[in-house]
Amino acid sequence: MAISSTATPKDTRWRALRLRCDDVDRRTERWLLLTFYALIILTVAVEVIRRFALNYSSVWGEELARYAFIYLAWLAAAAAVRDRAHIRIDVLINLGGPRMKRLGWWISDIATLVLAVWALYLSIAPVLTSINFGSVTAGLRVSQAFFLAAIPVGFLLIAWRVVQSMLADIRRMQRGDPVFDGQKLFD
Amino acid sequence: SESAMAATAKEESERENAAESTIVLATGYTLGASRAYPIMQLNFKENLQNFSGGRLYVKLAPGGQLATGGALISMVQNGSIAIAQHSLSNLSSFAPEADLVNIPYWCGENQRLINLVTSDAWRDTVHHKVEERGFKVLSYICIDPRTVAVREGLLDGPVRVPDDISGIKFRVPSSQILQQVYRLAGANPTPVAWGETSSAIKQGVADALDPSVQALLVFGFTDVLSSISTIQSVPDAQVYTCNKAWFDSLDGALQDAVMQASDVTFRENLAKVPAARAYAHDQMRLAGVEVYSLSDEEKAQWVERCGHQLPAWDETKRELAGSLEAFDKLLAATEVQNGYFVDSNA
Amino acid sequence: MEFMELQQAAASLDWTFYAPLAALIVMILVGVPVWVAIGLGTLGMLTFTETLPLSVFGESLFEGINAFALIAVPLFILTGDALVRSGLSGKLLDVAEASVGGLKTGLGSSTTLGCGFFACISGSDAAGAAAVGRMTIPRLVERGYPLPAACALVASGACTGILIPPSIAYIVMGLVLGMSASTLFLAAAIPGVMVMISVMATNMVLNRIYGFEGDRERFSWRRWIDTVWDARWALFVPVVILGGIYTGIFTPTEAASVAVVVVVIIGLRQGRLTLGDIPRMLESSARVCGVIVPIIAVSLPLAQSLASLDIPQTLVSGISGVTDAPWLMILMMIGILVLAGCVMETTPNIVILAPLLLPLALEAGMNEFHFAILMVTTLGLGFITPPLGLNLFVVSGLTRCSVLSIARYALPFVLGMLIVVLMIAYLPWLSTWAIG
Ligand code: NA
Ligand code: NA
Repeated sequence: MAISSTATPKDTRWRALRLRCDDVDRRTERWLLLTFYALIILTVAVEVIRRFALNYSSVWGEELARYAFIYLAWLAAAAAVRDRAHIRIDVLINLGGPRMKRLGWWISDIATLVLAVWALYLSIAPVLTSINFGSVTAGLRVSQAFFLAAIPVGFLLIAWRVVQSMLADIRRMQRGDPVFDGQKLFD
Repeated sequence: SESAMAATAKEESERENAAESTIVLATGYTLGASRAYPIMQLNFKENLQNFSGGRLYVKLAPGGQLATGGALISMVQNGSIAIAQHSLSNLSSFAPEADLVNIPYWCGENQRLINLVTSDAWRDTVHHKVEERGFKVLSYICIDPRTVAVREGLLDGPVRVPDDISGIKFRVPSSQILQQVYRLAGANPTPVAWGETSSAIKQGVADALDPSVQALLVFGFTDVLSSISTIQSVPDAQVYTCNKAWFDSLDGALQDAVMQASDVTFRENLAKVPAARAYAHDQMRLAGVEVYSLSDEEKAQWVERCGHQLPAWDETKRELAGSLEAFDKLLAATEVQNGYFVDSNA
Repeated sequence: MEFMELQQAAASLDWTFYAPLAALIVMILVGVPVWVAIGLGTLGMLTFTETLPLSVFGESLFEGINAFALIAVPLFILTGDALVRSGLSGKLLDVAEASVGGLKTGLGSSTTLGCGFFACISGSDAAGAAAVGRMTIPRLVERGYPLPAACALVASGACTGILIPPSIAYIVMGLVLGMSASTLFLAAAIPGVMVMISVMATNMVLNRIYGFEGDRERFSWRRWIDTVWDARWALFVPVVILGGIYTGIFTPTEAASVAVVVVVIIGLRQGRLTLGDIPRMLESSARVCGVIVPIIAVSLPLAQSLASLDIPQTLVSGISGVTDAPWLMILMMIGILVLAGCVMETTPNIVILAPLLLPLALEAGMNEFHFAILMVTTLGLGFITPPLGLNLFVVSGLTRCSVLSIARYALPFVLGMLIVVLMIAYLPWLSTWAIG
């Protein structure tokens, strides 16, 4: 990753700042994913033990696991957008060589962005309705808006990840590097 | 019947084209379920269309096609769909008073429930609050009260008295009150998500559950249960609600038509209750599931163990109704008929 | 009941339905991520047909996955990962090798059996393909298999991940059709094992023709007992999972969580796994979950739109218009499922197609358990059929061998599995015997 010789000190500072932000970004994402994942496993396991050993279960355990799952799913979906790990059929587009490959990723990214913005818009309404009318969850009895927000938050992140990956693509194109072809599942 | 089908298809699409507006009515039950579980969705569709003189066309989304329960309420609130069916308990997230019906033995019997929900005391509190939350009650749907249904291989005979369920794992939904009911009765309340309940009962993660006989039949519990006791403690009623803003946007004539269609559907439901019950009980017997009605002495034991008269419920009454006096007002309303009759011999 | 036929109103479909559907397919073929293509296709369908308000889409992204049963997805993905990192998967493979390594096609058979053992613990598919592939593909190649043939064998054997219980696919099927997942698990056991045997048999036939495997190992009881003893904890895990489900300690969904905890504890106790491995393990499983769940989430509004457009009735009347012979209707259903499995992932296929095809199956006289088993088994082929075959993707990712060349070698396995599918279709007792 050589910085080109024409880079000014200002460019380098920008670059450092960007890398720093990127680092914070990844760490935050990682910790959120770990937290929600652990929450699902522990909540369910604890409920099983409580029911089996203590003959006493909670009314909210099942609910908590569900909501943690929803957050996990959409945050992880956003992470997979940046890693370009989402499942796609690239057999056909790759037949056309590297230029087609790049075009394929542009089409993918634009389509993802359109869906993300559209879904973001559509998923805000339920959150607003919940805040407006004050609906609460059945077990925990807390505002449903906290959990409904998982969808707009997730799609905002997805939109952001697409933009990030498009910008990264442009930088790669300027450097003359090949297009980033995504991380495989189970590397 | 191919040509008959084509004819009705043509009639439906003509109706839809002639109507001023098409609305979606979503339910959690399939059309075929009405035989045992009379939510009357096709009647409601027809009534809304006919009483509006064809100005409304109703598109049914039955069988949980869109969602069920609380999720349907959200869709109604958002205005995604106009009308939905869900359980009476689902109203309690919005109007806490609705949760009072889960306190045993004050409105469990069908007629008492119907008296209550058609009373001014109930409508003044519950309907008003529901409307503040963006939706509106159209019609109640009476099924039959909750039961005590136990899985095969657990007990020798049907459950007769509270001691019979002492310590068993009783499946409950996420409801604090129902949890307390079965704890008072001596069981061990075990919350299990509805989607898991069938597996849970079959394998013994839970030993008993409490839906009405009709619901147990519709959801296919016939081959996992040994007996069902109709203890008539708590109602298992349903309700149709609509989006308030949609309703308010209708002109006076159309609003009247919607309310009239709702009332007629309610009465059709009440008339259907004994027939649906007879069918459900008969099907259960055919499947080898004993349906047991309690004797008066047995029922008295349940009332004594978990009934609303217990001081243990005072806090819940105060919390949900505001005061014990307010609850007593609702209790009195269960005694007064308002022109609606239903068979209560569950 | 007299109003029943009102609902039978067959839909009149026009461009408002076909154009978005065509767009959806084109997007998938040009490499738009599958979940994005389904999402945009559904939004297009809702916009043009106006069958349901658009806002339903926003709600479904939440409500559609707001089901306790679905938490089995991340949990079973994690179980697979935990099996690998705890070293238990290696021990299971050792047992498989010690058991059938002495056969004429010993390594191929033990690879398949290893996939089957893995499947008894893990409820997902791709993790098994990755785990077994990483360990066995190099050795298969060393023994004489061409690389794509070794990849195809592992990818096919790993199809048992969702076919042998526990299984995400059957949990989702139970959720979608309102059936008991534990009963489905029981019913699936025999068909699942049959698929495993068909993979082994196909590999034997291929070896007879091409002679991939030359030498073989000798079976020894002593070695067998040693490996089984060494793998006792790994072999104990399925006993805990299935035992727990069938003695009523936990539900099939909860079993997924118990499986993770048990595997991690064994891994920690045996010193193969350290606490420091756990975050990495969660992170990589989270990524898989983030790939699978969005496809499920956008499939639900698509299923809702199709239902609202009366596609299920249209399909039933369409097919029963062509024929009223049950065997032909079932054959057509299998055809639809094989095609669907080619272009789409299993779970969304269940979500979209189960409510669509159930009426047809009932019309053909199948019971719903028979239908569920047939459907999942047939969709299981989709893991190794191009253009979208998850197991193909996974082993291709492991080995950098191209998807198409693996798919070519996978074809005989597809045919072998199809024979099992036909047996399941026309011998209902295979799926209903275990559940009475
Ligand atoms: Na499995
Ligand atoms: Na495929």
